[in-house]
Amino acid sequence: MSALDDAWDRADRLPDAVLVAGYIVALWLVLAAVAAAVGGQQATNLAAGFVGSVTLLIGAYALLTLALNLQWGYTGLFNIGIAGFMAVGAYTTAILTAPVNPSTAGGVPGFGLPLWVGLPGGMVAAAVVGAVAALPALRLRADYLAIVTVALSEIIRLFVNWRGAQEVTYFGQTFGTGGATGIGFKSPRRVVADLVTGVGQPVVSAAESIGVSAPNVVNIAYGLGLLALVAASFWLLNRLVESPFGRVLKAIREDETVTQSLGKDTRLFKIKAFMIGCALMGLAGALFRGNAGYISPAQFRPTVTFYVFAALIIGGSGSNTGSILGAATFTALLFYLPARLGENLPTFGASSPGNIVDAVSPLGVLNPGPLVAYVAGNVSTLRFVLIGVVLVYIIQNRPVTPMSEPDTAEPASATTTDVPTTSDAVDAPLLEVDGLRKEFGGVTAVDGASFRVAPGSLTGLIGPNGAGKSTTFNCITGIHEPTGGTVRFDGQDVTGLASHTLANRGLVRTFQIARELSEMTVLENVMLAPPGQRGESAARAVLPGLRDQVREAEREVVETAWETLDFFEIAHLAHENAGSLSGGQRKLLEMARVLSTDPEMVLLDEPLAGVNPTLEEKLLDRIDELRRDGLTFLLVEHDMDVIMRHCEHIIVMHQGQVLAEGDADTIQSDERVLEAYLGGDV
Amino acid sequence: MSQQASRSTAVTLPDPAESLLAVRDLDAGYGDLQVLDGVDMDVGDGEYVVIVGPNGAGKSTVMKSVFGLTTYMGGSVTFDGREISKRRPDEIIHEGIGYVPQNENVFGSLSVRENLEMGAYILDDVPEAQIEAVYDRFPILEERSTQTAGTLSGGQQQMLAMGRALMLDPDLLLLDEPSAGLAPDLVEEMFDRIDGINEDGTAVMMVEQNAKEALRRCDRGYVLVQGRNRYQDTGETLLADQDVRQEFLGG
Amino acid sequence: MGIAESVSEGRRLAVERPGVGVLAVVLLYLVVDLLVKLSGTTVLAYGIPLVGGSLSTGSLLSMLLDGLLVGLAVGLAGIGLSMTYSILDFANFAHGDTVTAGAFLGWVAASLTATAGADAALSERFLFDAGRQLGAASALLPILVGLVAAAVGTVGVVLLIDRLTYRPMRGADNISLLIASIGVALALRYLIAFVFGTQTSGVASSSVRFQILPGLAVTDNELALLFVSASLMVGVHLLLQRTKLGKAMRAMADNEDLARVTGIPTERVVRFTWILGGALAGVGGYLLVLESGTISFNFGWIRLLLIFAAVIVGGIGSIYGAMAGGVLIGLVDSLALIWLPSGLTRAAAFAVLIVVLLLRPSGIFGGVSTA
Repeated sequence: MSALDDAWDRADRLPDAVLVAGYIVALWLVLAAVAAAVGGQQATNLAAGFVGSVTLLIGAYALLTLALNLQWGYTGLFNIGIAGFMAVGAYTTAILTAPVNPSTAGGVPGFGLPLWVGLPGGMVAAAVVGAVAALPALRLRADYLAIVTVALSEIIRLFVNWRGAQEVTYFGQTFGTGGATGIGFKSPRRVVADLVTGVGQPVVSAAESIGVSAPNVVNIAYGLGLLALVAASFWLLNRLVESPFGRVLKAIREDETVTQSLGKDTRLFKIKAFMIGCALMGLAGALFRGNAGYISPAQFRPTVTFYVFAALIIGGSGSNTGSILGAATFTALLFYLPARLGENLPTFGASSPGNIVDAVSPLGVLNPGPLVAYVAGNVSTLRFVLIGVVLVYIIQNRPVTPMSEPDTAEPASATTTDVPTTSDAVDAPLLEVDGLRKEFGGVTAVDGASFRVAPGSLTGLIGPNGAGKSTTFNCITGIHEPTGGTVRFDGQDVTGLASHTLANRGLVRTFQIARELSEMTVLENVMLAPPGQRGESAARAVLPGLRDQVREAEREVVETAWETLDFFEIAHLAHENAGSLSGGQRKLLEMARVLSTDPEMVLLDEPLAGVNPTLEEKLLDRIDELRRDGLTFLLVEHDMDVIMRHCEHIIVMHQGQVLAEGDADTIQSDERVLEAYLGGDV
Repeated sequence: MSQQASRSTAVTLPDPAESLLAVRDLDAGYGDLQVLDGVDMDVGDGEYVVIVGPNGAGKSTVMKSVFGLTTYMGGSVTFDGREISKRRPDEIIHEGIGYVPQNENVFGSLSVRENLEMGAYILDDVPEAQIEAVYDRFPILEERSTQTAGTLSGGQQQMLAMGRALMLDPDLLLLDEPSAGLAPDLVEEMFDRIDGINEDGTAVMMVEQNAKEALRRCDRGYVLVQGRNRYQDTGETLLADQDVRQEFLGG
Repeated sequence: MGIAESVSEGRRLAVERPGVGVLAVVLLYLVVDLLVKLSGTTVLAYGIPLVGGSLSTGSLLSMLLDGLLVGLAVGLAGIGLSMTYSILDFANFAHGDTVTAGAFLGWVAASLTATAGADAALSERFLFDAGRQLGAASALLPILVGLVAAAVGTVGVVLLIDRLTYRPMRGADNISLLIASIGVALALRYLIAFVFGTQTSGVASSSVRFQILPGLAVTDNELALLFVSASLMVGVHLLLQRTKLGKAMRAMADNEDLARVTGIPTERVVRFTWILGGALAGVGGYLLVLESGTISFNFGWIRLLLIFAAVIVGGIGSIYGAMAGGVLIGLVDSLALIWLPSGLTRAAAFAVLIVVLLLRPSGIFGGVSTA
């Protein structure tokens, strides 16, 4: 192992906090070295200035990157409206804390509240705007959501820029956004400065004695304050993503349909994650853009958003630690350092010509001086070229994990209008389908299908291609909303309910192509399934007192999960990533997962397709065992052998209707069924 | 007393050089998933061959493999003596094979005439004679030659798709479930047209869900089950065989 | 449909798709308000103006013309974006900067041509001299040379970018491609800034105005824009309808799998799509600068969202959609001034974009399907 591998290994094993702290200190040292090289007499103060400015940047971008990582890295929400949410937070804080009687002429008045009210106010406002944007937009596919968020971000900027919002008076209170000129408010930096020169005077004196000016000390203090906030956010976010709430987020990112089919109301989870991210962005907006107590619309152009994206990609999306490291790398090495270098590059006496032609033409007489001077004078601009190239390079070599498309099938409603009835007869059917109809445009896929499924049975649903089996299946399980007819489950009308609602009532399904959540382990896949997990509340995941409840609940969930894995004989794969399983193992995992929702009835969609005979027997054995425990199964299959041998009741569909029902013998001797399969008209 | 159709395990295969299309021991599938397991098939010059079988048998996959649309995993496909197993669709078109997919088989935003023109794209000029021939065979297409293809009825789109595939006057026409989604009264008419195409000299290989009709009209048929040959014989013999009929219902 | 049927159909629509219902009501109000405004009357309810105001026909026509001009240029620029989105399947966020690059290449060529033979230093001729602003009437040849240079130059830029950035990533998922395009956007924009500086320069001004109606005048540059855009759109239309390649492009945008199965050489068609889209983007940028008179390194980036709006409203993948969407968005941007203060009219165009994405993401011309 080379020395580099060795060092990498050791770095890997360090606790994250140490790694991040060490990296930031290393960046400080690099900057200090540059300052020493160019500062001459003023080197110490210059170094302090660098450190202060860059720490502020690192802190701000770390907050933003953590927020984006929660939204996109964990939940799969592609938000490029970051600048807009920063603006909402910053402007709300500004309006709340601006003095009632501004000292400057033409200044915009505000509510004059203190910062400890203004900052949370800004966060809440950003979260609320986030929720309002999220409600209609979260069902969009990723790139459409991206466009919507950037359009929203621009609308926000145009609004605060608008003269009409500059200053208004409602209910005797005057406030406003300050229009294009902007608004002055209670400066967070001033608060820190007061603290530093007050309580921290000894430190200031010591600093001054080695040549560091007081304002630079304040800057450093402010930067460190931001880093403290970053640390707090990091800690909170880690707790969040490692909780059951976070587990559901990861599942949503991978496959939202499956997560819904396991009983999770994914919309709610997405909105919560989005809001938390937006709140953090609002805070960053106020403390970063507004650090000097003044903001204007020009500071919230969409370009900021792309810098945050660059930081996230550099650090690797999906990891909180990576987010901070990426932010630090981006801001210090790509954003801040090149500009400082450019200011101090030696130019061999030549001064920068005003334009490119004068810089390049002397090359003809072999004089590179003007070009070098021109480049040096424009390093600020060139660093963005560098950032762009780095971004392209990284994404070419490390493309992001493709996210699943949101379910584009017609969503069924989540509400119900039924009156619960009790079914007393023991033999009452568990599932009743009456006159089910489903039309797609001009095509009638299901045309009045009716059948019953008895509790505890294994019923088969068969029919030739185009008979309407899959559509019926999807109508029952909430993927499509039926055009007509009713579906009753356990005596209650469940027609058209969403899949997560049905799952919570005990009606679940498997998928024809096993949709395991490949980035999560087998154990995590199964632990996702049980309903009503206390830990899936964001608040409980994070707040200190409630965490113990969560831990208790998790223990139970883990134990049950292990039992289920044992039952299906895949316990030895518990810590493998689901994506590395063989086809047969994935089928078993699918069954294990769906059974962990503690269902009453399971609809199996071609569970044996492509499964070898041994595994087939194993699965059927398990199903029989579960039936003895009272579970009911409805099976759609093409493999006739299995259907005929194991199903006690068989339903045959043809051309959208139920053609025949009965046991295997009845069906096999029914001429009409034979005709249907051979393709004749019946 | 039912006839006995030939079991594929007991059949001797002809020399591939003698068939227009010869598939030998073909393994194929999609990505990692293998669907076909050692499939053999022949289509002679001007022959009308159908592939039937229960669902999941891999019928469409055989046809797609001939046209280069699947993942090749072993075996061979020869056309007119030339090996085409690993070729791409736009190369196979040059060989003289036309393909009519099951779904989405017309360019909905182009007119009928333009669809036909696309069928002959690889030629330098639009073959007017060929378009006339297609119009002769499907008069309704000539009536609606300027109409947008997306506004045609299902049956008319099917005809257009076939017409497009015929534009290069192929030696072999591949048809993937041409009756799928058609109203029952149009199915008969459609099969009649396919008969006509075959009578005019084009060999036809057809995958069909409607086994009865297909076996009634074809020269020879293959019954595929779970990716393997099971039975092959003339259409009549297959239809009359009780075992074959049961194959569709398992048990 | 009878009245009763229409009403019940409308009611059903309003219940099932409340967004559409609200939108219909809003549009109806705006149309009524516009008509009342034209008549110069105001309808009050309890002292609050409900509908109406004042609007001269001349102003209305002038706004329509403005919207049309901007919309045509935006539409031209959007064709390339729409085709990339549909054929290569990703949202190209570098398109705005491609437009900028084309505009700069074109205007440099125009500037050099206009000063050919003049006794000035190369740097003065190469870059923009505020004292010399070109107009269609006064400097027709340089303007034309610039137009051609914009088209040709952008094609080069676009092919180079594809070779360096997207070709190595062919087959990657669309989000990765989107992010790559963001990187390209940054690099390209600041390369332009490095070469041309970050200031805004005036490069064009009109010298001739034609008064058509009271309140409605059109300048020589605007006429040039109108003429060029209209001709190009006709040209593109002819290309698509009459040539083999154009039909193949439509076929590919319609159903790429079927195109391959039919024997259409898809790679060649894709390359030509890049070329056509790039050329039109460059021309679109060039014309936008001709109309506004100024050029800056990020003017395309600033307009990117507007171009996206045009493409999405018109339907991704449809060339006619991009043109129609461009005109529509241009008109919204311009007519919004009747109801909204000038600082918010751009926001109206973006609001339309959001509404379309939420209610009908396939746009006006998108979503053509076969049975």
